[in-house]
Amino acid sequence: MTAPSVWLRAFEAVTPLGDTWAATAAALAAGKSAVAPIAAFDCAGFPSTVACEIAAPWAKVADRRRAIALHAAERAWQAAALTAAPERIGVFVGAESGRAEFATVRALALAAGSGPAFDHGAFARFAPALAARFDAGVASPAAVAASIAGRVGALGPCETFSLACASSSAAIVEAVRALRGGECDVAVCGGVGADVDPLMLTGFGLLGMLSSRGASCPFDIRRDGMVVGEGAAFFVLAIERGPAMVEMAGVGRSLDAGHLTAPDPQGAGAVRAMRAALADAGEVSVDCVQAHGTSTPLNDGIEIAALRQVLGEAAEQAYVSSVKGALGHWIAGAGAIGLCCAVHAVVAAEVLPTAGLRDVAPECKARHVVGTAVRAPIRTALANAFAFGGANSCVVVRSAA
Amino acid sequence: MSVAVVGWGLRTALGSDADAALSALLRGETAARPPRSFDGTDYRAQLVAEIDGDPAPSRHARYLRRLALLGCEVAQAALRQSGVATGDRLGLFAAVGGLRVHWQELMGPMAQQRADASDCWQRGLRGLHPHWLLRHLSNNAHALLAADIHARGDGATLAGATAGAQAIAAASRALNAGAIDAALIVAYDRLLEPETLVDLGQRGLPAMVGLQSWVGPYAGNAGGMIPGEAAAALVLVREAEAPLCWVQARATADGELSEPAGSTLAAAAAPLARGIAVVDGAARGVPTLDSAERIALGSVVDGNAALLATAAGLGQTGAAAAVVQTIVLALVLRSGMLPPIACVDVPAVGPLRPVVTPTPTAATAALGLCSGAPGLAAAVRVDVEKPR
Repeated sequence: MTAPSVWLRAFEAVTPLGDTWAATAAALAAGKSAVAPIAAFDCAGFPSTVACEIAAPWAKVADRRRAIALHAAERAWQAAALTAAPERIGVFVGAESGRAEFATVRALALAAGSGPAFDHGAFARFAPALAARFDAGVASPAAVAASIAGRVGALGPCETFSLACASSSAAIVEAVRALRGGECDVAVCGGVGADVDPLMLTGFGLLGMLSSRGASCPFDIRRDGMVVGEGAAFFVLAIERGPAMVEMAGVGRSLDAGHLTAPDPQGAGAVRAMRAALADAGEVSVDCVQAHGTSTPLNDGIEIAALRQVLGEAAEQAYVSSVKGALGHWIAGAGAIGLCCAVHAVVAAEVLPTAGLRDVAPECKARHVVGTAVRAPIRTALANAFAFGGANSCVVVRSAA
Repeated sequence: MSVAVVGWGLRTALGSDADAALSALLRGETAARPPRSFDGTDYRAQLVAEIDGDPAPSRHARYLRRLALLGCEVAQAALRQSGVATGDRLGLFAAVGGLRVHWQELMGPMAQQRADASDCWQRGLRGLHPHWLLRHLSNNAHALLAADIHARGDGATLAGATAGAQAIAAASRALNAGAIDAALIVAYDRLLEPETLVDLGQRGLPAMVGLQSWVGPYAGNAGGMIPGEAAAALVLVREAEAPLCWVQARATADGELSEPAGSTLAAAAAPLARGIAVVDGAARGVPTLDSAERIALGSVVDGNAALLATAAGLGQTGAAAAVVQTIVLALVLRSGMLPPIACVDVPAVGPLRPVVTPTPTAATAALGLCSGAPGLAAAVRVDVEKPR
C-alpha cells in the first residue's frame, strides 16, 4: 500500500532576528546577522565571546528552553487552525536536556562540598529547597515535548530526539513517518536550541569548536568555527492536504559510525542521508539546498563534496545557503530553522543568503547565495542536519502548487 | 505494527542477565536495598535497586559513564545473539533518560564562582576537562557504539523517561519504511543520581522506609517506588521465522509536571490493548497513582486482566523501562508463569487482578506500562505468537 502524502500546514519560528518567521525572513533576506557580543553572562576570557541571542523580554526566564519552544510551537499550532482527536495528534521534538541556571548549579555544587568528594548528606539536606529549579520539568529533555502536548491537547505519540545538531531534523523525519504510518493525523514537530550559557559555551570552547574571530561565515575561506545561537522553530504537518504550504516529500537519516566529533572524511554518511531523502521523495535533484554549513573548517568542505556526489552535475544549478551565518548554530534546533529556510525558498520563491560569506573557500565552491536573497522559482528544496557523533538527517520539501 | 525481536541483552539489579532476572522475579524477590555505592542516609529515598558490579574495562570509559558502558555491553550481546548483518542496513536507536550534571567534575570549577557568573571563566570554568562536553553529549554512547558495530543505517537517540518505548517505536517505523533491515536498540538509565533522588523525593514518590516495612505497588498501603538502574538492548527485524517475541510501543505525554494522569497511561495503552490479559503496570507504589492507573486501565483492557509489577523487583528503570519490560514479559509469557508482585500480600481492591503468588498463564501477549515526569507515559506490547 502506498503511504499517504504528508503536508506542511503551518510553521513558525522565534529567532534572534525576530519573534516571528515573517520578521526573521525579512531580516535574513536583507542579509542581516544576529551575531553580537554575548549579553547573557560575563564571557570575558572565553574562547569566543559572541553568540546569537534572543533579546525579547518574554524570553528572560529561568527555563528559557521551554519558553522559547512554546512561543514558536503555540503560534504554529494556532496558524494551522487544525482540529483532531487528541490521540490523533503527535508531538515530535528535537531538544537536549534542560539546565538549571548557573546560580543554582553553583549553589548545589557548593552545597555538596568544596573538596574533591561529593558530600551526599550535605546535598540531600540542601538541594530540596531548590528542587523546583532543576526538577524533571526543567531538566528532562522530554519536558519541551510534554509541555507542547499539554498545550495543544495531544495524546498521540510524543517523542523527544536528543541527537545533538541533528535533533530537530530527526524529529521531523519521525513525524513524517508516523503520519505516513497512520499513527496520527496531525503532528507538531520541530526543535529548540538554548545553549547560550556559561557551561555550554565553555564546553564548546574547550573543544575548539567556536570561532575565535567571532564570526559565523559558512563556506568562507576565513571560517574558523561556529557561533552558538538560540531559537525555536515548529511545524504542523497533516495527512489532510488542505491549504498546504509544501509537501514533506522525502526524509532520510544515516549514521557515520566513525568519530565522536569529526564527520566521515569522505562525507559518506551525509551522502547516504541525502540520497535516502531524495529517493524517498522520488527526486534525483533539488533546486535549493539549505546546508548544515556550520562555519567550521572541516565540516563545510565535506558537506559540499558530499553534495556534489549526490547531485552530480545538477549541483552546479542548485542554490546553496546556510542560515547559521546569520542566526548561529542552534544545536538541537538547527535542523528546524534550516527547514524553515528551505520551505521559505519554495513558498516565497526566495532563497535566503548565507550571511558572513564573502570569499568562498576553494573546497566549498557551489552556487552560493551571497549578500541578499535571490528571487527564483524553487520547486524542491533539501534541508541538511549533520551532528556530532556522526548522525545525519535530511528532509526534502516540494511545492504543493 | 509489531516487529520481531531476534536478540536481546539485559543487566538489572536482579542479576547479570535476563534469565537471572526472571528467576528472581518468579521467586518474588526484590532488589530493593539501602544504597551501597553512596551514603544515602539523608535522601528521602531509603531503598534503591542497584546493579552489582561494574562494566568491563573499556576505552570508552573516558567518555561514557557506568550505565552507558553497561548499555554497550548488553547491545553487543544482543547483536551477537541476533546474527544480523552490520553496515548500511543496520540502524541504531538509543534511549537515554537525559543528561546528568556530573557533579564530581563540576565541583572544582564551581568552587570559586559567584552567583551572577561574573568572571566565571577565570574563576574556574577554564579548568573544566576539555572532554567535558563529550562526556555530557546525549548521543555519545550512540555514536561510539555505532562505530564499534558499524551501524551506518538510520538511527537516533531518544530521550526522557519513556525513551525506551520511543526508541522501539522509531526503530519500528524505520524498519516498516524500508529504511533499514535490522535495528539495534540500546537503553540505559540510572535514577540514583543525586538530583534525581532529590526530585523524586520532593514529589513524594520513593520508598521512605526500610525494606522490612516496605509494601509493594498495588497494595492499599503501598510504600513508594524503588529508584533503580538498568541497561537493556533489543535487535529488531520486520519479520522472522521464530523470533524471541514481537513488540510494539507507544509513548505519549500530557504536560503534567510530575507523573502523568491515569488517563494518559490508558491513552498510551489503548492502541496496543486488543486481547490483552496480562499487564505489567507502571507500579509507582503510591496508592493514589496506583488506583488511578488501575481505574484508567480498566477502560482499555479486561477488568479481570492479571496485573504484574516487575518494577517492584527490578526497581524503576526510567528510559530503559520499556526495553526491560519487553525482555522480561517475553520470558514470563514463554515460562507460562506470572511472577508475584514483590512485598505484596493483600492488594488493594480495584480493576485488574494484582498477582501476589506465582500464577500459571496461557497468555501469549502482555502489555507493559511505564511513566515518569514530566507527564510522560508509555506502553509496550509483547507477543510470543505472531500477532494478527
